[in-house]
Amino acid sequence: MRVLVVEDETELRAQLKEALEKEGYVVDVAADGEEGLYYGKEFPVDLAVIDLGLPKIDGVELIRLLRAADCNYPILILTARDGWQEKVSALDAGADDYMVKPFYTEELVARLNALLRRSRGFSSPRLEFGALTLDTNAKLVLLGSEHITLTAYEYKVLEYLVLNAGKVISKSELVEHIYDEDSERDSNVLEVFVRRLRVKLDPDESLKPIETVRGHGYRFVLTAD
Amino acid sequence: MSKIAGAYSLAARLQWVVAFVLLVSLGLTGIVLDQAFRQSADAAVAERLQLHVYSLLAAAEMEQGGLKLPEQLEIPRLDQLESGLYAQVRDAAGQVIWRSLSSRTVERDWPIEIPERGARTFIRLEEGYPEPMFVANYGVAWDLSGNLVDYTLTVMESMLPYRQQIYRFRAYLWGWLSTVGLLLLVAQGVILRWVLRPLRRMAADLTAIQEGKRESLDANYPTELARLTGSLNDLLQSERRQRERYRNNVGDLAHSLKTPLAVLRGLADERALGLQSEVLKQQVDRLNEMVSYQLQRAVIAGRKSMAKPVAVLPVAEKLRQTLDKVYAEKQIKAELKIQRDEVFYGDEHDLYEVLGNLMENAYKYTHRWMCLSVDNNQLHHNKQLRIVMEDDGPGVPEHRRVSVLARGVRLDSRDIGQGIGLAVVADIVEGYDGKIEIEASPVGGARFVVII
Repeated sequence: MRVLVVEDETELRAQLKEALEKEGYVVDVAADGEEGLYYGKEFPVDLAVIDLGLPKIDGVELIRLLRAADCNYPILILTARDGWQEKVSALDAGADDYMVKPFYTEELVARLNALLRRSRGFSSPRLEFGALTLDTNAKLVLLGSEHITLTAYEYKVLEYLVLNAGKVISKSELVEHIYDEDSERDSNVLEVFVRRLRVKLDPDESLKPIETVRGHGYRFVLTAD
Repeated sequence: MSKIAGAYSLAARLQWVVAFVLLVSLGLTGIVLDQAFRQSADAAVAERLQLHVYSLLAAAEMEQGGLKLPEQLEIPRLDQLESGLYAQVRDAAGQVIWRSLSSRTVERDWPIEIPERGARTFIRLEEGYPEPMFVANYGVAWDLSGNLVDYTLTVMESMLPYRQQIYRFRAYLWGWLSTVGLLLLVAQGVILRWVLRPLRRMAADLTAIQEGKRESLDANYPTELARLTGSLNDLLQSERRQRERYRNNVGDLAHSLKTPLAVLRGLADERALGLQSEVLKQQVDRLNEMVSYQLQRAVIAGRKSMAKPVAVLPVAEKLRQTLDKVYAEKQIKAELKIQRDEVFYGDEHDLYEVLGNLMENAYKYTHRWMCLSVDNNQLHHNKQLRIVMEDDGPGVPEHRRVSVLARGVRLDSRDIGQGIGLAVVADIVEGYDGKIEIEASPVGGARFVVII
């Protein structure tokens, strides 16, 4: 999942990037409102974390501009001000949640996960598809009661496909959402990840959770319970 | 406002004082005119009677045996019975030697004073003969063959026509004075209304500002008031600007204090810090709570006389919209029981903080349902609101109901940094001389009752 962080404080921006990358997110960072607007409009963002007190374009205005540009991904705002009028105006402008500084990274990650899930129509952090269970908070995958060990990239691919269940996801889209800009991207590696996932999740080939749509990409075909 | 309109009204004071002065002046004028008229009427009567005396003298002739007057005189009223004008002549012994035809039926003794020779008297007889009379006596000496013989010529005139004249004059005088007085009072009322109109307009403008219908006083006031209204407008504007600037400064301060705190808390997550990480986290949390609490307290406006009333329902609806988004997963049924015309006489920021913190508290602890009802607090003061926030959560245990409103006390120790909301509400309520109580809701959760 690709998250955009717009924060002007260098240290905090670096901390957020590090913490979110540790959680498996692909993180783009912007230091001011203008840069944030450009990234927010041009990059395939799944989520955004925006500070309210930004240089050049302030946070509320940035949210308004992003929403006006049809960017419908969830936005969480960070604010140093506790006042309700500011929270209300930010959510009114189109944000989905707020956190008051200073915040706990675990809480921020939990809120981002919840926002992401909600935006894809899932209400619980445990997504269950018959025998297959994906715990988005703990980043765990269970087959029945058995814990399946996945690499970070395998999990990223699976999570993206699951959160977009039923939709055909092209290889290039998958690449954009699981790799950051600086990574060496190779779509052939994706095929390897998908093959490994099929083996791990469906050893006896009874579930067939991931379907290949020839010439288009992949689709997660199971439906949630 | 009632004091201004009532006993302490400038208009009423002026009206009473001017009316008093007017009535006293008109009364004195009436008395002086009345006296002057009476004196002049008295003088006219005395002169007229003296003329009659002279006419009698002119008609009298001295013959052997005494003074003789003709039967018919040139004064017709003396020849008509009971005409009101009577005359007689007496000799030195007081014997009547002649009387006019008009006085034949007036038989009683006349109250005659015998004046000195050549002297005149003028008497007012207020009673009798047969009616009140003016009496003029004139003592003359007639030369009869070398002897001077004294006679007294008397002319009496009824006082009734004189009195009628006086009454008519008085009726006329007081009638007109009353009419003039009344007209002057009306004119004075009109003038006062016109002169004091700018003051009334100012009072109306101030009321409109208090009710939030205007931002400032009208610019078009008379020169005497323009400086006052101008200063008042400046004061209002500067107070608003200052409050705004102050809030912005506090906001900037919050930003510049909390961003480093956020960095510090991020650092506390570093595994390398080991046990010190917990210590750092705790200190950052304490610092944060103190900073948040003090900054939020600093921007509490409190009750103000020029407060623009804030409609409660739109604020509550916006907060519900916000919290519905944030707590979407809990799928809470949030009811608002607030009339559309319910207003808060205070600062909008304060209202946001009170309702926001109460509602967030309810959203956080409720299972599925919460209800915010706001109404006029009829029992206390018509400008106070009664806010009741109920939820179906676990409620607040009785022994913690006081401490939960104190600074930094948290119900759930995991919600670090969120524990100051209710303390801020308590501080705001205190600033408005209101009160806050925590009770048990009939549905099992907490029930916060705030009078503000």
